[in-house]
Amino acid sequence: MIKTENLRKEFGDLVALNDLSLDIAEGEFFAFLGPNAAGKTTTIKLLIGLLKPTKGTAYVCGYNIQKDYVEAKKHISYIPDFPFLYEKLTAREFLHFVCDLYPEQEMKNRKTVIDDLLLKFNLNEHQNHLIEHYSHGMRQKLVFAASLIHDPKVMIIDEPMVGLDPHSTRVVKDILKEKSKQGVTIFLSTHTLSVAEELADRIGIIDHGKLIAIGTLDELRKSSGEGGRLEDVFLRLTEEEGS
Amino acid sequence: MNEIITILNIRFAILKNKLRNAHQHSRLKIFVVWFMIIGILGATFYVPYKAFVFLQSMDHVGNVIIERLMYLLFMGLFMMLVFSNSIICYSTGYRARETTYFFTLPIKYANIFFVKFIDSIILSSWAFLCFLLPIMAAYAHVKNLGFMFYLTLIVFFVPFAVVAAAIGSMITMAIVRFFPRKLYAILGWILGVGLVAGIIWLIIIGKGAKTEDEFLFVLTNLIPHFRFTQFVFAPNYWISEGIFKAIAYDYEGSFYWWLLLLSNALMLGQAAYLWSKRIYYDGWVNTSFSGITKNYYAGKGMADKICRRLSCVPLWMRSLIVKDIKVFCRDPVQWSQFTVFFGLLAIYFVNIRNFGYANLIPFWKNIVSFLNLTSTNLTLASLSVRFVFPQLSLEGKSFWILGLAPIKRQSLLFEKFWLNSIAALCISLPLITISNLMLNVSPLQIILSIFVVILMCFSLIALCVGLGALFPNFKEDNPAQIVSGFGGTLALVLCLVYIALNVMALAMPFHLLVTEQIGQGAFQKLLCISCVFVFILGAVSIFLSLFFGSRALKNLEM
Repeated sequence: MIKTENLRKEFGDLVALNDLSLDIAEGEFFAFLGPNAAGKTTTIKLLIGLLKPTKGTAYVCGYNIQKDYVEAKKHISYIPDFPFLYEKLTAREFLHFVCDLYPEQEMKNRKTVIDDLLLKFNLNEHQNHLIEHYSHGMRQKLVFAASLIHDPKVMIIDEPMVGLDPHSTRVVKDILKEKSKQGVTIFLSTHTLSVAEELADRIGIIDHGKLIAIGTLDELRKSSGEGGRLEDVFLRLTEEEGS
Repeated sequence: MNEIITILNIRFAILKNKLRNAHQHSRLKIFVVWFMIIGILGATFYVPYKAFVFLQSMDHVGNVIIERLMYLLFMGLFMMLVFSNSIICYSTGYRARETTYFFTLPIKYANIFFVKFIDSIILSSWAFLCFLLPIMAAYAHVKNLGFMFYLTLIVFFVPFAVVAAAIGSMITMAIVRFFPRKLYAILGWILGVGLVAGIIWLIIIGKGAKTEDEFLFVLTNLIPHFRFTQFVFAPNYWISEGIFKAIAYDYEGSFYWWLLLLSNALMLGQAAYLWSKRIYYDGWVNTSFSGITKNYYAGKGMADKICRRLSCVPLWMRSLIVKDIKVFCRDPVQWSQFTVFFGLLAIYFVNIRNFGYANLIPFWKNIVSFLNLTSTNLTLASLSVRFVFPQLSLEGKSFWILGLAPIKRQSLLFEKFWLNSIAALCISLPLITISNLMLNVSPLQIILSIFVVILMCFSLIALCVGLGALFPNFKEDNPAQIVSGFGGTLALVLCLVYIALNVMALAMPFHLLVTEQIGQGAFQKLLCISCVFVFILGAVSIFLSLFFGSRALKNLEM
């Protein structure tokens, strides 16, 4: 569902991403880890077409994201760490707006879908308030609700748990698990290693723009020689790369 | 096309919500905003109206001058529309967070551009239309024109605005695509070169104006030089001709010019849309994520070096000053506006002699001198409101460090006051001195205007800093948005009223003297009273602004 071939991005002399080749299957939950400025956000931006690669190609759902971007984006949902929302709209208005942007997935039961999402994310009480009055956690929940509205095949998520209360964190984790089981491919970039440890089928670790390790948690344990938690594995691998 | 309609629908929903929330604002706020709108519209009507009446009284020559002025007005309007569309297209089409959001959605890039193009037309046109309508109302009043004139004006203005927007957005697309992040610099150069060329041209044609008797002659003599405003391939000529034909009841002729304008609007709009398919996305990517960063070495800048020598100033204040100077100098949007506004004034003042103003009779010289004083203070006021008022609000995000630092919160207000006042003084004082020297005004008038400028610098800055503390907006990152709120509007109104009171108080004695309504003795007495009034007004403004501002900052809960 997500495939990159020798993806490379340079900013002047800086190589932000160095020949990244990935192949992520349908329904796979892929966690993408790395220290700060490792190239995680650059990778995400290349996957959703916000950046143009210097070299290589990225395919999402079989579509080249640069050439067939409209088709590809119909099946993607993207959740940034600091999402944009219209301050002067209400949650319900915003969800209707997002529905309108995916006409091919036009739902006959749009009202029911929106009601369910508002309920699921505990936003129904505030659904008619302007978004400008929402807390960060409420905004994040609204973004999640909006990302699910068109039934995406691929979800690309950047730091999903920032600002969420324990209840919402649980809701988000359950939804991601459920979506993964339903065959949705999830590409999750995070610093919260416990989330990756709990949810991911496979984990990729990137450092200085280069993919330094990829595999299941057990495979990573073996390759690093660390038998403990993901945190130890991650630190060992990135330390090695740094030295 | 569906996605364009969807996004436009959401624009209407946002507008509806804003209007629905309008009643939540206080009555005082609504009153101040309406007072200001009516005041500005009234002034924009009254001044041209008086000018038109004066020119109309000159019979045939006056009518010719009015007609040429209308051509000039539409040409100026067209250039400003192109320029403003260029800037707005960049800020909404390339820099806005909404645009990034749109790029993550399944929307064709050309359609994203089209939505931003419509935004740009609306955002740039409404202000110019508000500026144009009172002037046109003054013209219509003098010429006894009815409702049909206004209808014609609106019908012509729509395609006229589209033509300007298409040209402006195509300029921006080209610059951003090939020189990402250089748009402001390139537009600044274009504007600068244009201004210098304009000034040189004015100097050349203004050489005849050497004596007071020639003043009217030169005014009429200048007119032939404005023939370029009637360049037949320019859209400003088409709109002017169309409106004049309609006024003369030549509807067939008027319709021809409207069709010409409309067909060009459609053609250029289509060209911009097709071009956006090729270069909009590439330009957006280049300007959003260039990744090239410049090195700035701590402690090695000019501000660091100067502030290090100011050992009498506490270290924390020096640090704040250095930080403020660096933030200002590293943001081209901020310093470029300062340079353009004060640069324009400087070029004008330096060339006063070339325009022959120094040879005017005392009556006119007096008026020009006070107009120069007013324009310097108005520029200072508008830039203070734009840049000084939002400074405390912008510190909101850094209050986690400034609020916890072992310094009084009020000190922050005083730091802003002193730094900005001294900076304002460094710019305004030389300007007004040049103006007076070029005009050859009396030493008394020079001393007086210097006294006023010093007082104004401190009091206008105090007003903006104080009101900035009284009406902070910590949610907003964009200074322009902070200024457009109630506090910013109030600051602008108070600054304008304050300048008007000062200039009127000081100009009155000189006006009465040069028009021989009072003698020298009465003039001196009246001038003393005016000076005392101006001084008390300034002192009270400074004290009240800083007092209420620091109290608000002290009691602020974040």
